[in-house]
Parts: sequence; structure tokens; C-alpha cells
Amino acid sequence: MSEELRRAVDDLNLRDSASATPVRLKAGSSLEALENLSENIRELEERSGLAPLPVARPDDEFNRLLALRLLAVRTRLRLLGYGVTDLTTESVDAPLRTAILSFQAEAGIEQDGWVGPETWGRLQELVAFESTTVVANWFDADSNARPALVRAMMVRLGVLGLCDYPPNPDPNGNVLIAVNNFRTQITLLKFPLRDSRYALTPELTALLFGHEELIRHLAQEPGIEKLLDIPADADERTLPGVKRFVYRLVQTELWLDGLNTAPAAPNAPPRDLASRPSVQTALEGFWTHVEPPLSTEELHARSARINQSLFKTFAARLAQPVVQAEVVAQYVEQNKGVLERAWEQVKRGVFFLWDGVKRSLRWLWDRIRGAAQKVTDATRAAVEQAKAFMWHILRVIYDQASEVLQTVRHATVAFVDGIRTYFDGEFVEGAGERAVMVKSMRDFDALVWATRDVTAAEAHGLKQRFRRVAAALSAACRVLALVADILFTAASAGWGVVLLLSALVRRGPQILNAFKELADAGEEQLLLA
Amino acid sequence: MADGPFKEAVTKLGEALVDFSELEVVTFTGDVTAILKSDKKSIDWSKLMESATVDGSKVQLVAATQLKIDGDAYTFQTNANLPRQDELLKIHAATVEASQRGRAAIVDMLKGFIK
Repeated sequence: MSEELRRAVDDLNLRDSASATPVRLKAGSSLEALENLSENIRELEERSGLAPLPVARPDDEFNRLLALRLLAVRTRLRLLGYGVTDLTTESVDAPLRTAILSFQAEAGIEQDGWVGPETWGRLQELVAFESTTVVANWFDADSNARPALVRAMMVRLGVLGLCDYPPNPDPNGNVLIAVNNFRTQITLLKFPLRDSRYALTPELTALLFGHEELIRHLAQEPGIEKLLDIPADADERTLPGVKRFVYRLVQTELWLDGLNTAPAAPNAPPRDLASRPSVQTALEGFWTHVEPPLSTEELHARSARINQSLFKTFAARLAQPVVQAEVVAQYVEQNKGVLERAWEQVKRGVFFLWDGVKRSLRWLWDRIRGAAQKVTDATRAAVEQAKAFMWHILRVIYDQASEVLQTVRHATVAFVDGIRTYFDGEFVEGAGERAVMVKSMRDFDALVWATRDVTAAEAHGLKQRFRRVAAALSAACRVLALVADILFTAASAGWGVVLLLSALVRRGPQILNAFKELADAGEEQLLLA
Repeated sequence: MADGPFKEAVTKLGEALVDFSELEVVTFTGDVTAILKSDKKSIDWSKLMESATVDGSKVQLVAATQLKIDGDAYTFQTNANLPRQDELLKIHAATVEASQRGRAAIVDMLKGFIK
């Protein structure tokens, strides 16, 4: 390891001497390996913190392993003002359950008290800047904003410097004043608005949660240059409203880029300016990595001001291609020692905000595309950049691995259902004198019984059902074989979490495609049943 | 991820592996009352083989297919002129195809586990 990286790693308090803790996987071959597959995947999910929350109250040991996922849920609910004051308890206790139920009720989704995919997705829509917020989800049949949306609007308005009040669900309270303030700022910045009502409208909601649209507009709109021109070291409390709004937008974009100026950090109230590094410092980090590299004078000059040119650069980066996750995974494998240690020391609370991943993929494009660079080459000299770089990589790996593991979970369900169906299943199509039945037996033998009056409709229905089961089992088997291969190698080589997740990400396209083929054929219902 | 159902499925698979060398699909038609269990609601599948005759009046054998793992295939098809014979044969063919596909999926997967 070079001195340059050693300094960066030391600064991150990474232990250079420690090797990655291997994931405890059971080895085996043939059927033994298949038997161990489910346990091995669970071990990986728990060690990495990517396990879904359990559907029933788990025991203490399981709770401990789910600590990371629980922390992410607690962080989000706290941010939205659901009374979660404790971020550290590593179990689904009564206060957390109550908060989850409140959120589900206010979001208009099923109230089961657990965070499954739907609840997690809705939380992400409200909290993550990069998530696509489906505005229609957040208004009821009478076009009223759902209470959970009202809370999230207050958080978002706070991030933009337009609301000082803690989030609450009252659509007619302080949020209305803040939303009107937002309307004023975006009108000054020449956003065309169609709906002029003094209300929480879908149009304003889309704009408020459309961070990237705001960036693109400011990059291209003529006649607003003066409003965007702000010294980067300004004390934002002295800025006029519209400039403070612009200043906060820049802060947010830099934070999403992995630069440490975090208006939405869970432990930093929106107005707690002292807790944040300056925008100027973050801009220096930002301009350090543009291509071609800037001269020292130019770097200082650009870092000194916020202006439309900065927004043009932001917008250009939003249009930049993303690096393929498999390339990032390959990079992890080439630099596994440092990145495994980086993961073991990362501050999980902030990491698990799960935001900024798309920017990470664009950010990494310039640095590792098609090259076998080392971390040292990519991070150059800046310690802050070494940290941002490693976080970007880890965030990408975790985000993509989460998607792959979700598919693997579907595959195990489809496998179990397929085996049960084939080995002990009975299909019936039609009824009475127009029925056809199949008794499927172990080893795939089958007996078919058809009444004399059976028609083409029943024959077709049976054929379709059987075809779907066969397709689902086939896809599930392909996925499980791919995963088993990875786990076998990991068990033999004693891989740590990051390396194992990166291997899943590298094979991700094959794994995801196996199931995508079924979805394309309209058979996803079976898989997700 | 629950291990129980998964392990149970793998155990079933393990028990069946010895029979994977051969695949049989047999299709019957006839009067449903002839093969109902005493509860008159569900089918007694074991009765099918006993009751079936090629030209029987109540339960009739339509087709039978046996596929060997080495690729050999044997198919019987009744020459009786059955009502809706086309549909019956389509059902039989679809069942053979689906059974083959399921078995092939398992065999292909197990190849991946053998190191």
C-alpha cells in the first residue's frame, strides 16, 4: 500500500493489519451444497445487514444481526418525526413497531407493523433524493396530501432552508407557509407553474421532490444568473431567501456526490450550520475530480463561488453515463483488502441512508471504467476523496447486491413451490363433466385424468398453468446454481462480506435476467406469489 | 429466508433422484364417478391404473409416454375414436413437455453443484 493511501486509510481509522472477517459459510458438494444454500444466503444477508426485516418477532440473536437494517428504518422514521428517539436499540421494540404502524397508516398502505418491500419503498420515496417519488401515491381519492407526505415535505423544505419546524402531519399548519415560500423562490427562479392554488398541490410536490429537475432548470434558464451567483463561503443566514434556497440545493447535490456537507444527515437539524463542513471545502473536493484536471488557480477560483456554471456542470454529470455495477464489482475484487477494511470501519448510520447511489455510479465512471487502476490511483491525494471514493464503491455494491439478493429470495420461494408442485401436486382445470386433472408425482411422473366432455379451453388452461410452474422452477434452478457456485468459491477462499457481495453483483445480470425472462413472459405473478 | 421449507424441498428432491432415469406420463379419460374416492369429492388416483382398459366403458387409457434419460422414448396412443381426442392428446403432450422441463431444470442445476 502506498504512503498516499496509507494516510487516507489511517485517517479513516482502518486497521491495516486486520484481514477481513470471512463470512461463515458451510461448504459441501452436490445435494449437500444445495441443502446448505439457504442457510448460507441467510448468513450472508445477516452479516451484511441486507436481510429483510423478519415477519415475526425474532429472537435476540437474530435481532442483533439485523441491527444495520433496523438502524436504517429507525433513521428514516426519526427523520420524518415519528417519535423514534432511540437509534441504537438493536431490536424491533414496541416504540419502533408503533412508529412503523403510524407511518403505514399515514402513507395509506397496509398496516402490518413490519417493514417489507412496500413500506421500505415508500420510506425511500420520501427520504432519498435519488428515489423517484410517485406523486399519485401520496394523494388520496379526494386529492388531499397524505399525512406522511406532509411530514416529508417539511423535512425537504427544511433541507432547502425554507422550514424551521419539526415535521408533523397537519396539512393546514406550518407546512402551508413553507410551501408558499417554496413557490415564491421557484417563481423567482422562473419555474413555470400551472396551478396557482395556495395549497399542497401535486405540481408543487413533484417539484419539491424533483431535485434533479431543479438542478437542470437552474443550469439552463436564462436571466437568473445573478440569483445563482453566491460566494461559497457565505454565511447563509445573511443571504436573501432565493439565494439561501440555491445555496441549500448546492449543498444537497454535493452531499449526494459523497462530499461531506450534509443538510439531511439524521443527526444534524437543518439549521445546525456549525456541524457541517463549508460548501467551499466541498466544492474544492468536487472540482478536484473534473476532467481534465484544473490548475491550482482555477481550482481555487471555481471553488470560491456558486454560479450557473456550477449548475451546468452538475447537470452535465446527471447526463453522464453510469459505470456498470459489474465493473465496480470487478474493481472491488482487485482492491479487496482495502475495501473490506473500509467496510468494517464505515459509520453505518450515515452509510445506511441509501442515497446518492446513482451519482456514485456516475462519479465512478471516470475513475474506474475499463481500467485496472488501484485505489491509490483513483483517489489521488485528498484524504476526503479517498473516503468518498470508498463510500461510493461500497454504496454501489450494497445497493446492487440488495437487488440481487431480493431476486435470490424469489428464486428460493419459486424453487420450493416448484418442487412441491411437481412432487406432490394436483392441478384441476374446469369442473364437473368438463374437468381435467393432473397428479404430479415424485420424480416428475404424472397421471392425467380428463372427463369426456373436456374442451380446448380447459386443455389450454392446464397447459398454461403447467408451463408457468415449469418456467418458474427452471428460472429458480438457474439462479440457485449461479449463487451456489459463488458461495462454493467464497467458502473455499474465506471471503469477507464485501468480496462476496461484489461477486454477486458481478453475476447479477445473469441472475436478474433469469427472472426477468419470466416477467417478460407475464409469469411474474407466480414468482411473487 | 426460512430454511425449513427449503430443506424439506431439497430432501424430497434427494429422495426422488434415484428415479430420475425415467419419466412416465399416462393420460386417461372416462366417467369421473368410476374413480372417485368414497367421499365422492376427490379422485382416487391409484384406481386409474386398475380401472383402465383400452376400450373400457368407464375409464379409458388415452396415451402413455415413457422417456428414458438416455433419450429413448416410447409412446402409446389409443386407436379408439374418442370424443374430443385432439384436446386429450394436447393435454397429454403438454404434461409430457412440462414434466420434461421440470426434470431438466433440476438436472441442470445439480450439474452446477457437482465440483
